[in-house]
Amino acid sequence: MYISFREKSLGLLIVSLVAVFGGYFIHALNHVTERVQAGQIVLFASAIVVLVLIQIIGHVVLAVASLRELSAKIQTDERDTMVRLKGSRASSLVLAVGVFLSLCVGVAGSGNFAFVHVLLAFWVVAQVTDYATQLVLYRRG
Amino acid sequence: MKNRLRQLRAKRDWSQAALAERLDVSRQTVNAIETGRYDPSLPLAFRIARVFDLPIESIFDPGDQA
Repeated sequence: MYISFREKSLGLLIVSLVAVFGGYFIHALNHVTERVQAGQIVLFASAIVVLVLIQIIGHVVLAVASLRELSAKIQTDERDTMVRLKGSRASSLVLAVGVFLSLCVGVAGSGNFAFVHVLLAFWVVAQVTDYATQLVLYRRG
Repeated sequence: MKNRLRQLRAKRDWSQAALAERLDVSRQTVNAIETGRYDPSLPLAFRIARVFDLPIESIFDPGDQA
């Protein structure tokens, strides 16, 4: 089964997001506080750094393994643009729901912990939705 | 939308990659058009018609969409 560089890249983005933020949220849910603590901000920043490092290293490895494909003259065309737009549309719907729900949580609850984490969770889900939608569209052909 | 891209390409003995290069698109896009999973934009349809030196309507059949 042929898997293009772009599909591998999307797979890497999904797996890294789920792994890094999955770990972050497991830790956060085991240390729920009313307000976000300094230690949680450091943990979040560390998660972002780890995510970026995984994605950079992963893409370098994927690019080296796909040199022949990446040396082709055409890298993106109108179909790629359409796929990206469909991914963004699905992602923006998820994010809109997330913003609304986090506002509800912010108004109803006390402190900022729940508000911040509901918003962050929906941002992660929106990103995964974007990449997963693109991946499905590419796999369909 | 149905099309005769695969037959026309085969008649000229071009690979998908060779046609993709002539059309300035990726090989995957040529494959998606041939299998009917992606309908090209009007500019790309015109480029396809120009490459094969045929009118658009002899390559693409809108079928029920017309």
